[in-house]
Amino acid sequence: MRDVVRGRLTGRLDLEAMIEAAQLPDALAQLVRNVTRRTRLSRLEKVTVAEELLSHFRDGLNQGGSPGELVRDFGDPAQAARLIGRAKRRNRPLAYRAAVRSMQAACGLIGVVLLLYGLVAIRFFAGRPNPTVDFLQRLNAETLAAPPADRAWPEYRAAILSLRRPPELGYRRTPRPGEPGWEVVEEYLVGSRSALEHIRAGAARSVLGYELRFTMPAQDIELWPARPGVVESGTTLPIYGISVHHLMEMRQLVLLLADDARRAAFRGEPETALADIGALLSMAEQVRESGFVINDVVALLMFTRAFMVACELLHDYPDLFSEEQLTALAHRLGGVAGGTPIRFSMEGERSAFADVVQHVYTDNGRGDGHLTWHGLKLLLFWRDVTKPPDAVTMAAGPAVGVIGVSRAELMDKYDELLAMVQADAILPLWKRGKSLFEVEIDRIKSSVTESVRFLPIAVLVGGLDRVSVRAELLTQRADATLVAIALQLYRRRHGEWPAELDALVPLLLPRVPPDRFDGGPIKYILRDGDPVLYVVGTDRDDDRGRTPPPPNADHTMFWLPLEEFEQVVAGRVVLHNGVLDGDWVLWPPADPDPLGPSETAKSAPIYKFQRHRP
Amino acid sequence: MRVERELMRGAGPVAVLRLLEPGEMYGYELVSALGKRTDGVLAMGHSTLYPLLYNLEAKKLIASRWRRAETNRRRRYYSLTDRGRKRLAAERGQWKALVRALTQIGVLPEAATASGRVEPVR
Repeated sequence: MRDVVRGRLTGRLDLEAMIEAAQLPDALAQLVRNVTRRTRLSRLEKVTVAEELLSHFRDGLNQGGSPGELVRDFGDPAQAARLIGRAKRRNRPLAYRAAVRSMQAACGLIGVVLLLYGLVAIRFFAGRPNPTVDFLQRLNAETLAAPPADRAWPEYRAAILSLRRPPELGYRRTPRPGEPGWEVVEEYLVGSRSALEHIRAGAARSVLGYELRFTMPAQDIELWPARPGVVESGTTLPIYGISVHHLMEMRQLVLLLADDARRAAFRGEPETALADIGALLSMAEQVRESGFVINDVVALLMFTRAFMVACELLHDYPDLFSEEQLTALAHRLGGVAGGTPIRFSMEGERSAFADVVQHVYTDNGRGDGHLTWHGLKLLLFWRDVTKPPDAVTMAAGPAVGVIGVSRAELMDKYDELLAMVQADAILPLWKRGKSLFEVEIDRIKSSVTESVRFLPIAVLVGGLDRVSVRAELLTQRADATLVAIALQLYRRRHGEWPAELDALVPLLLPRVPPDRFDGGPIKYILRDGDPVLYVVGTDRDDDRGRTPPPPNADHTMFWLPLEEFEQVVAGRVVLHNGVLDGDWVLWPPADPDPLGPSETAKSAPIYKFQRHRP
Repeated sequence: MRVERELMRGAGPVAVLRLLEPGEMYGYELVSALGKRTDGVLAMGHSTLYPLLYNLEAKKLIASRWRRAETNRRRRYYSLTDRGRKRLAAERGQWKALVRALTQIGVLPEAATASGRVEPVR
């Protein structure tokens, strides 16, 4: 196409053909060829020059000059070519010259950029992470140091293996005493006595004793027969990707134990019910061992289950426990929280992140380094396992490496974020504003540049602040449970409920615990002669113990900083479940999940252990 | 006798402008005329002529066009532009002043100035 435009195919710009056609003597033809070639002009300009020189020599020959004379008179061809080239270039239009200069400058710039990018690419693709710290070993150190007799996991494993397949009832949750299907549950629980003994024995051990590893030990494979994929070889992977299926199994054990506490209460076996609640708390404490956020979240769920069951039994079976047993229960529950908010160290989470960083960045031996291609692939895999890196990703990789912060800067940022989480975590809910961590994470993730600069954070970090909110809500539940026990003890001693909570202090309660939403004391009223314990909840407004209409009866998932809640009220932000107008009633325990048919898993067993899955 | 290159650099362009004053000429014609009409004093290598012409054209002092000669052969003819005429007039004034100055200090004889002829340097 270019040649057609240039007239090459039509012969208009064919220099050689033009010289041939002029039929000049060889010496002159060669001179024209020589001069035009050396001018380094465009093809069109060369043709013009050649045509004029051919015409010149033809005139010379016509006027009697010999080829030799004409060659001599012409002078030095090299100098002629140089001067003609320079003069012709000077003759070019200003716009053309400007365009050529601009193009040359642009090409030069592109060349420099490509050269620099090439150097950056070499550095990026040649860089290799060099993990030097065995974080897995550090995390497992305590577990491995514990004597086998102190480890709970073998007991839990034995419990799971001894369980027969749980029945399928087709309800959303396991029925409770008095509800349809309870007799099936009770029969299963009675038949699982051995498993329950294993669980209680495990809960009595000092450590969980589950060794985190990439290669699943042979004795555990039986627990996850349908998951051969979790058996991985090699230990060069970051612990971020390690399997924690044991946590999911323990959650099922907790459900089983909670139902057994209900069964024991229903059958008038307070010792067993107390043992079950104590075991629930111990399991939750064991799960917190490794310090990962996922462990903390699971532990919170377990603690919550324990407090909910305790509240439920206190309400449904008011005379089940003796005074001594109630006191013992209060001490056991108070050992978990008892007015002291539950805190999390985040140390395991930091180790996991530092481990990712050492698998993603190079190491210059002084705690710094740069992002590598190997690391980028790993991060992209975690971001979207279905999208393998393509050619575009590969081409853009070095740019990501250049824009991205260094290893040391990344860890500084991560520590800054953790400090934000911890600064929030020490505040009770009523003193908290919008999470600084959340603001900063949103800022990073919503900006393309920032999310590339802090890529590992953008891909892997999020939601850390919500753990401390959950911990605060758990503390609130724990406080309410202790107040409920004190109320029951007061009723037994005085034959009536107290008019106000101050009557419980100091004999039955060291102090009235706070409402963690407004900072005032936890709220207490007598409704129809029965006590109601509540806190104001998300709307910070005392609705005299009225719960929000379903599905928002349980506030635990809906705490919002005050300024955000005000935006919801003002209609500037729309919540999925609408405005939460009402209180969070802690006792008597509300049933947030009434028994009903399961819409999704009709044939699912009531306890979902992996080994029982079809 | 041919003039020194430095002198030729100043005289060449004005000589070409002068030759084109009466009407258009082509390259070989110009280079021949320069040699013959100045007794070879302003004769220049043919290779020097074309860059000179292209430079004058770049300065818009001359213009060129392709035209068929009587032999039906294409030739490029050069002609003086208005700007070229003005430049030629200005150059004339400068050269006269130069000759006058050289005469006054005895480099050139009086007669040269009176006749207007410039004798070749001997």
